[in-house]
Amino acid sequence: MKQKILKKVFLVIFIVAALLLPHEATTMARLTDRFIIDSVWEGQSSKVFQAVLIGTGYYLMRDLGALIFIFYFFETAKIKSVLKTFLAFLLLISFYGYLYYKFQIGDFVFGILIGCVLFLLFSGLKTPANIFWSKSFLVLQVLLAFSWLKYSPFINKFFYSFGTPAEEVSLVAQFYEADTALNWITVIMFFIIMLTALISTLLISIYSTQMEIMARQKENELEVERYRLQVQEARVFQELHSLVHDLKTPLMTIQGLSSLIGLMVDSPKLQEYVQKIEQAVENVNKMISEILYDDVRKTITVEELINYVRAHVFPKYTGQGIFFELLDQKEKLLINHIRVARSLINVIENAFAATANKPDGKVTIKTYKQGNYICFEIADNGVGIPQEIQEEIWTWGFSLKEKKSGLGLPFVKRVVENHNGYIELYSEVNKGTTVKIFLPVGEWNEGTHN
Amino acid sequence: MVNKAKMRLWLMLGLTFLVLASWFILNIIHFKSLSSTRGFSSLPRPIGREPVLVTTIGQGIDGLLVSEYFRDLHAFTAFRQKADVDDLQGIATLVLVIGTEFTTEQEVYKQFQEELSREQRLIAKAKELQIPIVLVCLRNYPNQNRYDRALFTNALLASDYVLLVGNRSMDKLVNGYYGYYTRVLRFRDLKVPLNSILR
Repeated sequence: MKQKILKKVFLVIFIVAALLLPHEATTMARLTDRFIIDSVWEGQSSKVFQAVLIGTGYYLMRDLGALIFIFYFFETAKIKSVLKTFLAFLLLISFYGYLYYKFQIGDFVFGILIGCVLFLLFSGLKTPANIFWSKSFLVLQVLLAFSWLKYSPFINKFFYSFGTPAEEVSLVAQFYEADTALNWITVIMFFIIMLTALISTLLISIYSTQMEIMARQKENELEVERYRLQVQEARVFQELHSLVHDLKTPLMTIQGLSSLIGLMVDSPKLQEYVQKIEQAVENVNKMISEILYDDVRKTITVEELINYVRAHVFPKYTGQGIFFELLDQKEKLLINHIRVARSLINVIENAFAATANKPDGKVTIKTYKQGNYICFEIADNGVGIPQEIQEEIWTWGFSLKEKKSGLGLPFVKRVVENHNGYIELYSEVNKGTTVKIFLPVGEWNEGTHN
Repeated sequence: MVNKAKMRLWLMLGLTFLVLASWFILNIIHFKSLSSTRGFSSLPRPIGREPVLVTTIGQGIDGLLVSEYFRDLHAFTAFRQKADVDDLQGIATLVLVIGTEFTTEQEVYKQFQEELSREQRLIAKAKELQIPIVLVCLRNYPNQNRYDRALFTNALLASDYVLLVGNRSMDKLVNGYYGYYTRVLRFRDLKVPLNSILR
């Protein structure tokens, strides 16, 4: 976010520089002209070379502003690429046209040549999406290299530029008969800077390729981790199934023996106790069936389900409050109440975790009827979930917390979908999260499959 | 997130090299063809005497450089960046050097108008005092810049001798001029024709 703002600020500075600097750069150029004239008066050729050094910086900022703006436009404009290229070059020509109109400075060839070179360099560059700084640096290097070349008395005329201080410098160099030396210096500087520009281009390209490979590797690792968790989950369920199934054997023994005791005793009080034991065993048996088989359904009222959930959830941190607004409690649901209750408990526990560090942490549970559905709404004023990961939280193995399996919410989703329901999630960072679980209203009848 | 390259890296580098090389070669060929010269001529006899007044029409550095050459030739020379009619007193030769480098503090067109009227005043006064006028142009500006062209054309027909530095493309500047005219290819070759003005 900060990077984006910083980028925008610099872009604005560059645009302002491009618009204001033609005047300032020309003023600076004239000042350097005086410097050159003084050097001629005093007969010091070394001053001319100093002027060359200062001179490379003259129009650098002006051209840099224009070129970075134009190439930023070229990169970001959402139009056809042919039109984009055409418009970018049109902007470039307009800029140098403005210079000619306003100051009689002809820099067309210089600008268009640099534009072509940069266009080619950028076209061959594999770049990370946020490459603004690297590209700006590349523009600066190419510009600097060509600015040096402009001061060569031999190559100067190839730019067909006029009104630029570079021309005066090369004229003075000829006056001092130092044109050959200046030719060599400028060409060598051009090659050195251009070489660094090309090396930077290659480095950016290599860096981008590496980034791409790393991103792909990370994606693969995440995929492998997800598969591993799915396998682990399957194994855990398998073991749980075996364990719960094994519970049935001692229950059958209890049931058999209590029936036997019922036959053997005459006391009505004892027979009542035996009947209660048998009833309790029957209930536990049904619960085991619900745990073992997802498609086992039972008619239950909203009130009964909420009471079951309430018995299992407690705020874990001081200062947290839990509030209930329960409507339509008499509505009936045909559900696997153990699994649905577990799902609701999972969501409520997540709400408690999200409000853990808030002094006024609040979790509200609402129930109400909406169309043919009963909505269980669990809202908190906790840390919230960032927009970009709201889709991912339903994926197996995804968790923001360390030492968490990432199985809770995917389980909720699966259970709700198996009951022909659906989930809605609303969340805003630092404001809170609301999860709405919709389950269809219904009760047991002849056609219902158990 | 990585943006794909629009072309291969080696192709990009090759094309960049190709663009730069072709730009360079085409320019060399072009300027080579323009550089042909049949040698340069000097004046058959001196047209001017000392002292010489050198001034730049357009406020460039050009006038100063020409005056320095006169000094190298041990000619009694005065250089005035903004010489006016009063400076012509006691002067035997007037050298006008064209080269615009306007300051940015004022409107460019206004400065041009001032330079043009100063040039006209100087020419009128020189004609009045029967001082020979030498017109010098060190750069190809009159072909590129409308202000230089106007200043050059204004002085051309009133000049007794025209000296140009550059390639053949400058020859067209003196179309219609029937006075003495010399063009040299390199700046350092200017000393010979400058010397021929006085000796």
